[in-house]
Amino acid sequence: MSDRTILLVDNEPVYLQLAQEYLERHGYRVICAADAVTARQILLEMAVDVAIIDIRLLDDTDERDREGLHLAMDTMWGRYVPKIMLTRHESVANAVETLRPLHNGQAPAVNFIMKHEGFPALLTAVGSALHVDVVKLRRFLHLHFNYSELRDLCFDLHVDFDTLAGDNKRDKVRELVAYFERRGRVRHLLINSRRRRPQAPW
Amino acid sequence: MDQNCRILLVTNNPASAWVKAVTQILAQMGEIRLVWAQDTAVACQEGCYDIALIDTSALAENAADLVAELADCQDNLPIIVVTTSPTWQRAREVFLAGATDYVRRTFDEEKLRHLCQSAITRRKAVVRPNDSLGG
Repeated sequence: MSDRTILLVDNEPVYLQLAQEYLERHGYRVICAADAVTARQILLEMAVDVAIIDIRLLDDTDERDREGLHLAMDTMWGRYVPKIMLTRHESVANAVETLRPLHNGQAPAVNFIMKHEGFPALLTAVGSALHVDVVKLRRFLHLHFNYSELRDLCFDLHVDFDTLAGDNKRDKVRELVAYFERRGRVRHLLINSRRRRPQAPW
Repeated sequence: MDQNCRILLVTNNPASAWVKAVTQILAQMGEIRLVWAQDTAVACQEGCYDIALIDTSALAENAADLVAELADCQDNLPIIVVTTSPTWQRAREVFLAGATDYVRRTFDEEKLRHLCQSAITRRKAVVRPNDSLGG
């Protein structure tokens, strides 16, 4: 069993059950929610690693229903939880709104999956969402933290900044990422650094 | 409005009416460099830009690959992909590669200017000044 938790949000009970079974078979712990209120509560209270959210959560026949997208947008600035938006209805506008960075550079979701692409596509998207791109993380830290803030970050994460090799910021950042990678905890570094820069683009 | 922008326009169709129109419109914002898709990497190494536009018409290359190449070359470069026939699949590809926006081609001067200006403003808002020990 994986130690990763997925929040699955959809108002279609059959899809919810089938997707839950499929993801659990692939080792994930899955929590289900049938509406945005419940999902919001779970996102606030539990350590969710990825959220999969259907765009239409109120009425599947109503093309103006974007409750799921609103949920993704409302919960962008708290604890970092990558979101995958799900839909049955093909729409360029939905894909763009889901993945386009907002005014502060952050997009509501990290991926957009059509239900007809099947569960394997969803599983791949979950894998990508959980994967930490260390090059990206190194750039993120270099761009959005100054030397002193990096020192603070290390202090809070119980890493001795002075023992990290190098004497300039670029070296320190690289060594910090490598330190967490060696310990299999690079995701922990990602979550903590993004929590400190919720409005910085990823 | 910023009039000193460096704009990179990637196109394999420089003679098209749209490219001519957009060049004229955006010339008011600053300097425009027109490059063929195959020369994107070279253009990126030779200069720093405030915004890049990719015109997907007549493009033999995959737009997402070009986006990735540009994003890789310059951090936080706003990249707008312009297309005549948008699809959700392409939208997903280019955004996952690092695009800032994916829009249908327009000749609307105001829309174009606003699109570029807001992308540049967004970039300025999110880039923090680095400290002296940048390395």
